[in-house]
Amino acid sequence: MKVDERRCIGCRACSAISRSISISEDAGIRSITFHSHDESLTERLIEACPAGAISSGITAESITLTFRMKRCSVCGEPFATEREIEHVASLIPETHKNWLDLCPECRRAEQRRSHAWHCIRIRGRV
Amino acid sequence: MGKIYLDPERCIGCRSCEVACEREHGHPRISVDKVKDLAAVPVYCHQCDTAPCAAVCYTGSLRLDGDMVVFDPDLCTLCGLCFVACPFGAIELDSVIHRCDLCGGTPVCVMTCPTEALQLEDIDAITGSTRSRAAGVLAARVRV
Repeated sequence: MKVDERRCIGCRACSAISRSISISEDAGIRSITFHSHDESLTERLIEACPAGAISSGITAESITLTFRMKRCSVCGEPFATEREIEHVASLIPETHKNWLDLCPECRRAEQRRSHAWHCIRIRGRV
Repeated sequence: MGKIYLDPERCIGCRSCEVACEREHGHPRISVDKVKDLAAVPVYCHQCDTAPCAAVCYTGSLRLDGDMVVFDPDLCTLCGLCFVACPFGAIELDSVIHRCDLCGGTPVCVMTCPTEALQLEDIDAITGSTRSRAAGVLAARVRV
């Protein structure tokens, strides 16, 4: 298999299929290493890649791609690669996608806060 | 089938829904927390009508079916895009995807909730009861 690094968005699909593709995260960078590889899986990998980054072909050496992670605008934790966010944003029809700046934990907290405010206001009125 | 609706004023933060969900599925898909010790709010999948999770799912593993989002684990590649896309942070990802399937029609969180803060209803019933409750509050104030 070959991987097109301009297309790859740094998701987890291929590493979930093949044990010769490893994924790691450190200090706001996700690294995906494609080791030389059992070609019988290539067909499945091509099908599973959401970005069309994988094609057939022989790569003898292993390559590592690195991706900058997006940090949550509230807590600062990295939660997805910047390219994953771009990819997701391009597929979602809504015009306001401000939740994509938050990590899932902070999205839950944000929703809690807005419901809680509603309750607290009503209780205060009684 | 209807969706799960929350009346946040009724939630007492007992976490029964969370425990029931974990008992049913092995990992809770609903999470309750308190905000400044003043109110407790469960957060869970809304089965969005314009579901971003289904919009980003390219294998058809997550897809809109009627008024809910159905999940077919056999088609899932564990890419994690739905986890990134969910506006409510209601999808978790480890070696599998954890997301609400409404327990096939009788959600245990709704069954368990002691205060009926969580309810499985269709949208018309919920808007009807919210409207009449708001009207009741107004009427009480007019009388005073």
